[in-house]
Amino acid sequence: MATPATFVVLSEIGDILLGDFDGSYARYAPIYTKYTQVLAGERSPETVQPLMYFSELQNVAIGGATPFQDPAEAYKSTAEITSAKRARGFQVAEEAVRLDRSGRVRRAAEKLGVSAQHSKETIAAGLLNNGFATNHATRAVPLFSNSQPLFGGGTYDNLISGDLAVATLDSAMIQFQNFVDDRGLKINLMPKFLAVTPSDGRVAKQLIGSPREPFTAENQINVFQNEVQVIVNPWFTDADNAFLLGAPGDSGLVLVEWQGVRRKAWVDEDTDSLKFKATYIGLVIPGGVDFRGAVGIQGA
Amino acid sequence: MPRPKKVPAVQITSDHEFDSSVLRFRRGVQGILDPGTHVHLAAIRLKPARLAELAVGRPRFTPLRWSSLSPAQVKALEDLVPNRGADDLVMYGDTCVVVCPEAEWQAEQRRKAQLSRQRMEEELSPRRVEREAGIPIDTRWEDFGEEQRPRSSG
Repeated sequence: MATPATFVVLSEIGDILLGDFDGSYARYAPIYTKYTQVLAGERSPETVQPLMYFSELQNVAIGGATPFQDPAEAYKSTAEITSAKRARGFQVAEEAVRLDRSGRVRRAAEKLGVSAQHSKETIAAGLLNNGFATNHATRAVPLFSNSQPLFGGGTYDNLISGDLAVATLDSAMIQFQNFVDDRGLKINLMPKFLAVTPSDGRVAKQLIGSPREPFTAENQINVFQNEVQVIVNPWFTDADNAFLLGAPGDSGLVLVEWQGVRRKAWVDEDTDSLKFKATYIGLVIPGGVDFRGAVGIQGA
Repeated sequence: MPRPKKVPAVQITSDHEFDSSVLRFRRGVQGILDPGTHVHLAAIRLKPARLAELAVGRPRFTPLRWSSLSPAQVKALEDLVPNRGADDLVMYGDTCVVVCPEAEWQAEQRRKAQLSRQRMEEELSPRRVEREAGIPIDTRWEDFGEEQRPRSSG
């Protein structure tokens, strides 16, 4: 919502700016919420410790004793509020508002709304952007690795090194649908999204949208057609990376949020200036709380 | 049935190592090529200019060509890639095998990780704020010396 041409009372401006902020903050639906679970932080450190599945049901004789098994926890993830707070504000003197005939100062709240939206998307996208390099605290490998450790022994590969193409997507799909629990139990996850940068948007849409396999002369059907939904996310930093992701909750992509974006406007009577600020408290857990539900296709 | 004398370069892993087909292929190719070679798959069918992008990118990748391999390497690689195709490039499905020194690849990964961290933590420059927020920022005071800056009275 655009602000009126002139302001009369400084204290009344705050409410108008709050409306401007809200309008620009909500101008686009957030992208990350499609595939990231937003966990409301209630303590610090916030801890996520997934419970492993039990072993397969064991064969017992009729009338035989039931084999019991203790619940076992997998790799623990923690997020601390200490470094999670983000804030940005601006202040304008009363005179600056009155003399601002072109309305630049009065549009500052709109601009801050965009900054707040950008910040949240950047934080959430950081989980995938750093997914090839930043290790998980206890799993000791990144979100995407050729050797994700399994508690019950062995490793799992959820990193495909290569550009997004039929061959690499095929391999990623296989790895996704073969995900196992830490005891090696099949967990039968299905991919929901193929998340790419704008650079790879066309390639992803051709791979997923074509009725026939793209750029081949054999006329075979495209088995990937409409299997997943393409998400183009401009907050991904590496142009050639792609991510095959499950629905929120099916993957280990978690954003812990202690406080959503909050904005405040107030008048500092001492200096006759209007102050406006936006704050947010939230962060992602590097490496994700679990590697399952996400396969990374790492471009060059 | 007699056991084959030659073991294929592709390792069949145990049930507890859930390696992707791409990883097994890359390991197989890396075992055939000179040590310290990084193998990547380039989507040349979906992106016609991909080889050019990789040739001038960081690190610089070169396509693996059959003609540049030794006879022993060709023979070993034919176990992995049975169909040569019309051109000289080594293909894996719809992708082309490209290579670069592993050290350069690792250095680039470290650089990207560092950039990503910096981007999360960086402070915006006044010019960038001006551009992004559309508000003129006056930094003249910062250019003056300490003694020239305005001071509050008292």
